[in-house]
Amino acid sequence: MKRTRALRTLLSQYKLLAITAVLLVFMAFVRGEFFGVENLINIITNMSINGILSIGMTLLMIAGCFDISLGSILVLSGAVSIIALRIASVPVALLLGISSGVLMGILNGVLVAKFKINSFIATLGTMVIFQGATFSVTNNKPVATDSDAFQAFAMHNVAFGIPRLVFYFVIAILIIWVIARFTRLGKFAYAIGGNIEACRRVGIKVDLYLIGFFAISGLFGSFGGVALASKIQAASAIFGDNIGLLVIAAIVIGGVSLSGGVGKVGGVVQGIILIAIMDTMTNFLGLVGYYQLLFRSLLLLGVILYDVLSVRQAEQRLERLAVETLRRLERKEVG
Amino acid sequence: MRKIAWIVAILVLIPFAMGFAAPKAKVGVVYVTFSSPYASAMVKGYKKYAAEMNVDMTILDSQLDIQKEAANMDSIIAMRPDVIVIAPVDAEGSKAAIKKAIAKGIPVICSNVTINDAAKLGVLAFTGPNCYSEAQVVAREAIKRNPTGRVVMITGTPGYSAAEDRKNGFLDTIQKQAPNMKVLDIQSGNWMRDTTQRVMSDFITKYGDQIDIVYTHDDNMTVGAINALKDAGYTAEKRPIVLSIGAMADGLPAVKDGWIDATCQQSPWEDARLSLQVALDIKSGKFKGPYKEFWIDTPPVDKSNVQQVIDMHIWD
Repeated sequence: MKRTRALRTLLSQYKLLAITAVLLVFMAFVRGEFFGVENLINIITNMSINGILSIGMTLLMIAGCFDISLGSILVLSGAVSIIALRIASVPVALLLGISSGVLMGILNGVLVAKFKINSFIATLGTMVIFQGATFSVTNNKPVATDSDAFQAFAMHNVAFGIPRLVFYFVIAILIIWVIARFTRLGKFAYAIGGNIEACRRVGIKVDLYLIGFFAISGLFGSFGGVALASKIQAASAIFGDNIGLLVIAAIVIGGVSLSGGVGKVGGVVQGIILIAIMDTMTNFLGLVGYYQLLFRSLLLLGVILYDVLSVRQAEQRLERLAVETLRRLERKEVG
Repeated sequence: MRKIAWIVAILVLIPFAMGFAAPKAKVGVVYVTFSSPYASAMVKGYKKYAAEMNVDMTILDSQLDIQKEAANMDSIIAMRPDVIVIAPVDAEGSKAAIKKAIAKGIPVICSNVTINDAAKLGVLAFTGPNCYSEAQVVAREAIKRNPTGRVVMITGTPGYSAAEDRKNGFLDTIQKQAPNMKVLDIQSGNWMRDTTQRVMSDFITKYGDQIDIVYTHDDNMTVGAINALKDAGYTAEKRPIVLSIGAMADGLPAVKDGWIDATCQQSPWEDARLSLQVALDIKSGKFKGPYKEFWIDTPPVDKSNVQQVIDMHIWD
């Protein structure tokens, strides 16, 4: 009895990994070359950039806010770092690119926290502004660099053909996991996401923390942007077009509630892995591109439905418990 | 004795059968997008010709996304094809993925769209339309019909290589072969139907009956120009000469109905077929480099041959 209970809990916590495992077994039978070491390393490398973005935005979404401008933060920071290479050294260019994201995040945070604009709308606006700025500084054309040292930032081979980029992703996961689990910053993210008014009443500096979460999201966004620019040695204003919603999808699939207050970093990581496996699977099975979108959307819908239904189930259970308790009180069995 | 003969016959035939079944080449195609009418017709063409030419082909959609393209290229490279055909998402950003394929010893052909410094990077070939010669074809059609006519041109988005080439090809040709032809005006229609309609309307207001020849860069835009002509009272029988490029879904009926005199065909099926043919030539060793540009044929389509093109059902 205990063992099946433990197994069920394990499965529910790692349900996404379970689905991933099933898919991998399927692929092992259908297309063996999927399991080539080279291919697996490629899958992990290609998921790293959007993965870093998703992880970076997790705290923000737990706190109940969206950042749709992430794709534009990515392209602007990439463009900044590549253009900076023309007049500065590689480390300076990297620094300028990565720090530009913090500034953009702070702008987002100020709009939402101080000016009380809904985060979806505010970041929709900054998404256009940041992308427009990118078109402007790149003169409507992609910018590129020959610098091998710059490419080494993301792609230097650490071991067995695994580039640095993968390690950056792992470090990003660890940082956000530690913050979410062990620090006050993380606890306040859950609190603010759960009930923002209560937090204000209790005296928590909600505005400051929100700006902080936006800044973290922006920082990880620009880190990803510089990493992408490093990987392909180019930057262009259109590279981030699909990213905003994709990143949010990974986070929601990973179990972070759209209304905030709920979610774990581990879940988001599982979501990122599952999406990456599904995308590569459709390539290997020769399925046309829109199947990727279809499967991802179905998964997202399924997760949201499951979320809504389990909340409803919990509420119903609570209601039954309350009614039962009242009844027992009447019959003077309790109290 | 008979039994032995049968066994020998079968044993001898098996390698022949395998030879027939085995595909001539394994080709990976990574295409920038499947969403435009030209692209989706081209994908149809790829599948058709891959089957006809006995090519084991995998074709992936990059969905206009540079990261998706990188992932697609990785998947294709992992399948170790004989040749990769790519219509890149970005003239600079796609270089890294192409470089990776070339480094692994897989020859790369750029199809329909190219990257900067393709030859220097090690790309073996480009296959696709030559927009400059398409414009030359149109110029010849114009000269054939009215060598001293006055022309208005409505172009694609300035700066786009296709638009620049389709403009210069026309102008250079008439300068040499029809020096009495006069260009009244050139404006951009931005590849859009409604913009072109507005521009054409303005031209009619400004130049009226002086316009002998209307040349737009693309069938889609031409329909806009035709709408403007219709609004101004012109009919299919009484109108300036209308010339276009594309022979696409909306251009062909216009030729049939007598509104377009000639359109230069840019067939997405030819585009696909040529890239597969060059891929086969690379695999068989017939073409070993250095970098070469292979152009598709872009013949004019007018009333005399429009039905043949319609019957090919390229666009439905």
